[in-house]
Amino acid sequence: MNGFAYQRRTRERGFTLIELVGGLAMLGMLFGFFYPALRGVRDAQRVFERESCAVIVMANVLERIEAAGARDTASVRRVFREEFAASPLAACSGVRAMERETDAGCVLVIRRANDAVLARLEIQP
Amino acid sequence: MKPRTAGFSMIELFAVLAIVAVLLAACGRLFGDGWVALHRALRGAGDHQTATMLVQRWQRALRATAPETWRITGARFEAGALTVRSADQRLVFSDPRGSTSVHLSRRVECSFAIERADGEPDRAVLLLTVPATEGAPAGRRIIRIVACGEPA
Repeated sequence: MNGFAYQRRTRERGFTLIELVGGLAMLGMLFGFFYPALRGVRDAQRVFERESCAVIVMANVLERIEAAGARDTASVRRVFREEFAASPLAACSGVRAMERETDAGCVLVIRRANDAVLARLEIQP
Repeated sequence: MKPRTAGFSMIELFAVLAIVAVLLAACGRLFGDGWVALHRALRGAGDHQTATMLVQRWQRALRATAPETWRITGARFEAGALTVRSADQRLVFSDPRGSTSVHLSRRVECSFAIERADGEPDRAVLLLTVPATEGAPAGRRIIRIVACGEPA
């Protein structure tokens, strides 16, 4: 009987190592679930802003080449380069402005670092 | 020898308190960062939606104006009968038919520029200065919105 009482009292001293490790593991899992969500919010915001800036760059390019009435590839490229360089996207790492000549005309693309397209515009002379 | 069963020792108590304090601080920081990031994302999204809307408004308003009449007077852009000015967190477009205004958030600042280059149409530029989300907290970004008028 005494031995049983002694055993019960010693169990009440506090957490065992397994309980402590289990608790810490659960906290770690909570961090593990929450932290990617936090990063996701930041990444989504960044992508949204860059898409918005890319659309504005394309709108500026369209406005300028329509006003000039010059849709030749050289003019379109020059205007695109100027507008991209003047936009906040020029300072964003990994964001690239690319032009490609096709049979139909010229394709302007702004891409993110992972090659995803932020904005794309096709201009046919 | 009497077994030690009478609760925590001072060192154990301090150790537990320290661990709990660190965990609480980390949780608080994480939730605080999450809240701030979400709030900033929502405000930034609003600013950029406004900028996208202003592209249409600015270009349409200036399409019917002659670049020869463009003039910047302080914080006011004039194009013949059209006047665009920034006041009280609004961008106000006024012409003889009346005025319309676009609400801007407190974080957005407006200014105007006129770009003239040989062999190219004149450009009226609306410059929106918005806070940057990356880099330094005090960083600002300038978004250019270009409009070309109809030469007289």
